[in-house]
Order: sequence, then C-alpha cells, then structure tokens
Amino acid sequence: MECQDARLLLAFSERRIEAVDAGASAAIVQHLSVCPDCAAFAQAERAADEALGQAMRDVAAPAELKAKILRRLAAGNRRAKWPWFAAAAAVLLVSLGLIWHCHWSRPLVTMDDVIEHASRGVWDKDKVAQFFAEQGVDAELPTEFDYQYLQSADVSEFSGRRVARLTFCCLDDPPAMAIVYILSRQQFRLDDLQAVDVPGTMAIWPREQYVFVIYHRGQLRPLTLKGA
Amino acid sequence: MRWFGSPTCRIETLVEAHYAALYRYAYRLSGSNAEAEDLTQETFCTAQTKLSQLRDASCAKSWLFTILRNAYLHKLRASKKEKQVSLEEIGELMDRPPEPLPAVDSASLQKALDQLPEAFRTPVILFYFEEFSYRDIAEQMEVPIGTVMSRLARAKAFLRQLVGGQQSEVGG
Repeated sequence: MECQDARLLLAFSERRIEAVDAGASAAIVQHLSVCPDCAAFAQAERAADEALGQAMRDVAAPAELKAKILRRLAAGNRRAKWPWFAAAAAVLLVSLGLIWHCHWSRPLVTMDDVIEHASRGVWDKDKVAQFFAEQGVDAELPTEFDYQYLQSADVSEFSGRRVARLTFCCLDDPPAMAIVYILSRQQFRLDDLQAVDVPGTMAIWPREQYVFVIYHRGQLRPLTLKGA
Repeated sequence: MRWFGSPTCRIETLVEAHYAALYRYAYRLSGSNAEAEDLTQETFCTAQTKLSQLRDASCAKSWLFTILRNAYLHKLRASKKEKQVSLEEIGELMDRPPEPLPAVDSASLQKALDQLPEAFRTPVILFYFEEFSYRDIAEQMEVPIGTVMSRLARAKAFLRQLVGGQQSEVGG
C-alpha cells in the first residue's frame, strides 16, 4: 500500500466505517508497521482528533434547561386536551342535529312498500356471502344451517369488532330461532372457545379459521340441513 | 428493546438521557446559547407529538438529533443567514498536524465552526460527538456516505487550520 492511500483510508478505518473492509484495514495496519512517517502521521491524527473532540464536547447545558423542557412538555400535554373537548362538543352537536333531522324527516311507508319488502325473496348462501364481502366483513358461512330459514344477515359488533351475524327462524312445530355470530381467528384470539352445546341456549362450533357462536331458543335441529 | 409505560414516561426518559447532548449539538450548530435552548426545547416538543414513530429505543438519540437539525435548518432558511465560506482552497489531504498540538479552546472552535456552511458543520460536529458512525451521519443528513466522508475531510482540514493558528480567518 502506498503512503498516500494509507493516509486517505486511515481516518475512515478507525471510525466504524463499513466502506473499509477487513482486507483494507489489515493492509493499513501492515503499512503503519513498516512506515515510520505514516505511523507518526496516524498518531498525530489521533491526537488532533482527540483535541478537537474534547473541545467540541466542551459545552455545558444550562442548569435549568432540563426543568424548562419538562415544564414546557407538561404545558403542552395540558393544552392537547382542549382539542379533544372541542371534538367531543362537535360530535354532540352533530348528533343533536341528526336526531332533530330524523324526527322531522320520517319516510312514509305504504302498503306497497310492505309488500315489496316481503317479496324480495330468500337469500341464498351466495347472496349472503356477497353481502358480507361488500360490507368488508370477513366471514365463512356455516354450512350446517338450512338457509331457507335465514331471516336476516347483518354486521354487528362483538367485543369491539365488526362481525357477520345471521338470524335463522323456523315457525314450524317445534319453532326454533338462532342468532349466529361468525368470529374470525384473524380478528380474535379464540383458543379458549371449545366446542359447547347447551341445549336451548347456546352452542359453540369451532372451525379452522372461524368460530361460530350460536345463541338459540328451541332446538337447533329444525334450522339445520338433514344430516348436518 | 420494546417500549413500556405511558408516552409521558417515555418522553421524560428521553429528556433525561439526551437533553445535554442535544443542547451541545444545538449550540455548536447555532453558536448561540439562547438559540440552542430554543432548539432543544422545540426538539422535545416535536418528539412528544411524534413519539409513536419511534419504534426502536436504540435509535432515539439519532432520531432526536435529526429532529433538531431539521428545526435548525427551518430557522436558518427563514432567517436567510446561512454562513458561507469557500473551502475550495483547502485540500482534503492535510499536511501532518503540528506537534505539539496547540490547545483547542471551545470559544475558538465555535468561531471556526460559525464560518462553515451548515452542510459541512453538521458532519464535523456529529463526528466529534463520537457515538455517531458515518452511516448515522449519512442517514441524518440524507446524503450518501461518500458525501459525508468528503465534507468531513474538508471541514476537519478547515478547522485544524483555523484553530491551529495557521490561518486567522477565511473569507467567503
């Protein structure tokens, strides 16, 4: 290694620089061991850096600075609460406005509307799946139920998350009704939920990616497909 | 390292750990006690609002230094008082430093730093604060490592010439 190259690389090899690889570093060390001029240069460089470094760091922070900073941060925390109050007040005003609007703008429902709603038809599984997809809710539909008894499909809240909910109802003899919450293992930690069947009250059906939580009255059998 | 505790607890921890180093950096950047205090306080106020962005405690110091430098640059642009000095005459490969090395006092060093453009002042300040590697400096300044090396070499040469008494002042 030439003196000029060694001196160019010297400062950088001593300061945590990844650009100087182990081979170059070793070459520098070897050169310094055989070149007294460069060795003296390296020592003078280190001394100069040390002197400049000490002078650079020779700045004392004012005694009260830390306390000033903490006071200012605390004042900032107190001021930050006010925007929350303003936001809460805005929500309250908007809510009052909506309530007032709903009271004065009630839609008229005619017999034609009632008949039209009743004749919409029964949802099949594909329509239900499409509905939840459009709502942005992750759901796998239970295959055990007979979807001719599906009364409604909606998005409900369960432990703070939006989940798919199905309501089945059978008015035959015996009558039965079931509300099914579809919980995704992506949304919840469900390991504690094991298979359960409390007759006339509740059932839990764990699946690989989902758990079906079912609240029911009467037997579930009338609502399910034969053999399910 | 994962953070625990409330955000208030964490900002106070950062203040305790880094306020002195930040003040030193601010002072060397600005050359003014009052401005350094302002910059340091402003840095922690900004950090408080952005604390959620800091995911790794080991990066806290570098993160705070970056905030401070950005605040300083913002003030500098607003005041349009960027100091300029020509470094064209200073080569990167220096002659051997004089022996014995003259004592370097803080005030003389600051006078020399004040003459450097910020782009050269920042890397030399961070370099002598020891904890920062070239990569840290490059990331804070958002320039390549090679640029840091070049600016550092020229700034060091300039400072050594000034504080070493070889040159009383460089105009520019």
